[in-house]
Amino acid sequence: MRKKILLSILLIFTLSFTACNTPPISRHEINDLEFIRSIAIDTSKSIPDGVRLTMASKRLDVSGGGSSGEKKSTKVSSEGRTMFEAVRNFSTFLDKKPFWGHLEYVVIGEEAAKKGIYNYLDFFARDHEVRMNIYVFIMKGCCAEDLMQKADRSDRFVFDRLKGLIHSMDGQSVSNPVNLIEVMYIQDLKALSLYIPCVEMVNVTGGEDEDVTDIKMAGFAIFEKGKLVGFLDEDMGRGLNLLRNEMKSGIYVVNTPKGSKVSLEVINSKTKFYPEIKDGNLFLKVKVNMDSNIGEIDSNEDIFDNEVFTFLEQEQSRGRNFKGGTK
Amino acid sequence: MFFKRRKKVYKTDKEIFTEKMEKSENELTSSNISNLIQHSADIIFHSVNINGNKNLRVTVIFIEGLVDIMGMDQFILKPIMQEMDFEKCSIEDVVGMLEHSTLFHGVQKIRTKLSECVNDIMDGSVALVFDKVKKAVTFDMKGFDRRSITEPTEENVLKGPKDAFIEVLRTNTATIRRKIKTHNLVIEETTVGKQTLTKVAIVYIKGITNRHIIEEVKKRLDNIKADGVISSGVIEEEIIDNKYSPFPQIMTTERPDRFCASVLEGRVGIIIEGLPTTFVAPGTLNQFLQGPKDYSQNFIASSVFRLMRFTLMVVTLLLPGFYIAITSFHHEMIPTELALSITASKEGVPFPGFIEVIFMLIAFEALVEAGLRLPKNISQAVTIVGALAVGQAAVEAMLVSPAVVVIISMTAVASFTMPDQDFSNALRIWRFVIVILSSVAGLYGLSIGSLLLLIHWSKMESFGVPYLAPFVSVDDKQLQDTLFRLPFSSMYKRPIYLKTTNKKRRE
Repeated sequence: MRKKILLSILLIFTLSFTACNTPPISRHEINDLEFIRSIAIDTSKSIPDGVRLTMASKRLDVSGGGSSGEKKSTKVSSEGRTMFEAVRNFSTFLDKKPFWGHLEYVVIGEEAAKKGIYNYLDFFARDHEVRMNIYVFIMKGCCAEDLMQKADRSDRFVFDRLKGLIHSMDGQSVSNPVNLIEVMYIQDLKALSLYIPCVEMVNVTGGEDEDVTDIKMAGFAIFEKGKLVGFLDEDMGRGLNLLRNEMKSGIYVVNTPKGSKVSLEVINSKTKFYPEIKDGNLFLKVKVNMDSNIGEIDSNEDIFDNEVFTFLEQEQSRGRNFKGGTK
Repeated sequence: MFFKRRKKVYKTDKEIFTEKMEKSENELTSSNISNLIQHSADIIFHSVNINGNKNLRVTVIFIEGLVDIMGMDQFILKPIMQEMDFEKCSIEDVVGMLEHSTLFHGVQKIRTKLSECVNDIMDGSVALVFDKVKKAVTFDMKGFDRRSITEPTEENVLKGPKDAFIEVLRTNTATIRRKIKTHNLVIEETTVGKQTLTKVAIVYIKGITNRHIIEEVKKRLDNIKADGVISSGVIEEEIIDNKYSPFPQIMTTERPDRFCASVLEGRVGIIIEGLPTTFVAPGTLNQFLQGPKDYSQNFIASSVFRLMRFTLMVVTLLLPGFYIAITSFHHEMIPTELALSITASKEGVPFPGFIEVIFMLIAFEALVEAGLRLPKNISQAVTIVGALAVGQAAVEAMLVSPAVVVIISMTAVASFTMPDQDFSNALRIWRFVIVILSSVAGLYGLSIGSLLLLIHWSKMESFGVPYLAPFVSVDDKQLQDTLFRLPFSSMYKRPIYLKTTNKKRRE
């Protein structure tokens, strides 16, 4: 019996004096937290070399008492000299404690990306709440805060749009989602430059003759030593996907010899590299093996013979005929 | 708790009783009996002259209400008063004749000891006491009002026998005899309780059941020092190994088929006079998760349901704790949209999650208790009031969030699927422990709670059989009747952990 008492005292002590700070595990009620879903990173206008963060989150409002909650979006910006400072400054503008465990999308503005992205992403890699599978995007053309402010509407939140973009990427293969963990991984590789998908703001004519700001995929942003050096457009983005052997699907529109348009849907694609040395220089021969479906023919032309197929295949392999977008 | 319990050698109650009677004028006479059993209104002393002969006096002693008076008049009193053979007999001859001829009765005993005779009377026999020769003849003439065999009230089954045990021991043993007709079925009897002198029968099959288990059951039954056996708990608590565990350690059943199936498996059955519930020892965790219908329906179906029952056991045990852990500590575990709706549902609720959960759990326990206490037609009202007050109104009054109501009702429904009530109660208690631990330390506390439970289960033994019996074995063949049920044709061995004498179930 004495042994048992001693043992339980020992157990209580070992449990309460672990290395964690007191209280050992912090308890926060779920309704005291603000779940940050997406965050935009820009350079600060007021603080030199500073950071401006804009976060967007969603709240369900059930003040009506019913089950059908009205969704409301919260957008808050904060600034700081460093990422961490700016992150802490969020809490002064929020009535709840910001919680980063549900962060899904990080959008970095073009200007900020030109200065180098690792000093921004370092915080996310270190903080214990942030997951490593968050998606990173680059905002092409303007600062990322605009995306949060303009593309966010009550019926279509900006993070839902980004999620939709990621889902649609496989169908077009003009870009490819990149996780934070992949960014950290590519950073360590010497032979590979960092590429991050970029998004672009477009104006879509809405139903009531009113321009609505929306976003679309715009290929890749290419980095050199963590700094943005250039963009790949949709066609080149598809080329990068081919090289990375990440082409999943996509539509190639080709013309038959008689002039009717045929849409070819890529159903399978495999890329192989054959390195060879010619005159003392290393060359890399890329062989792409692609299977396509005929998805659509715009005339009643009979194309089902081998000659036409060979012609179509050649047309397809010339590539560079992606005309995507919503313009 | 720091003192060692002094060990004394107690005499069993039966011995004390017998001794006491032998010390007094231990001659078997009607006056001594009358001294012993005092002046109770229901005990009838009746002096009769055999065949009208004044020299042949006999005292008829019986307890009114316990004895079938019509039968007694017809088959005992009428013959001894009218039988012509007695005319020229001495009193010894009469006793001899009563034993071997003259009367039409099957169960009769010659008693020469006072205590035996009194016990017989108390048990519902008619005693003919012959004062002159200090002898008595007792006739088992039990005739009292008894409940007829009805359908089981607690364990209902769709397919299968509809009979249940009743309060009369003899009827119950007969029910078992009717199901197991082998001559190897042994029904031993012992008496428990100083005052109630309750008969307890031990049922086993010779040649199957392990001898040591039988001996252990008998030993523990004989060691019971209770005053009386009115409720089953007296015997259960005295014979189980761990009194301080909330979990049941011997199986309780009111169904003869389940009882017989366990006895056939190699367990020992215990039937108590006056109780329609019977015990089967040793009990293992596995037994308490087996439903009565598992053996009467398709083995695939019962395997699926049994697997579901094991899952639901985990659900009813851990779900409230898990909810507290993830809403108060591990918010990243919840899918984002769910987290948002939980947040929205908690909007305006002033209490932290664990207070909500504990409040709802207590409300639920109160409802269950209230439903049990009240008569059936009122208990429906309780359910309605409970559903309205606790469910709807509490949510609207912002006392609890709807998410908690959903969690608690899922827990409650899962706990109702537990086939054994005692086991379900134990889970209820342990659920509170886990709720408290997880509200202190989140999933860490939850896992500590579950580990403690596992340690507790692993430590327990029931009559030498590990409580987690088939699961702690390395032999995979023993799992044939646990999380799933294999068809009977492949269960060709009895459970190995019961260490049966005859291992094979199928020849």
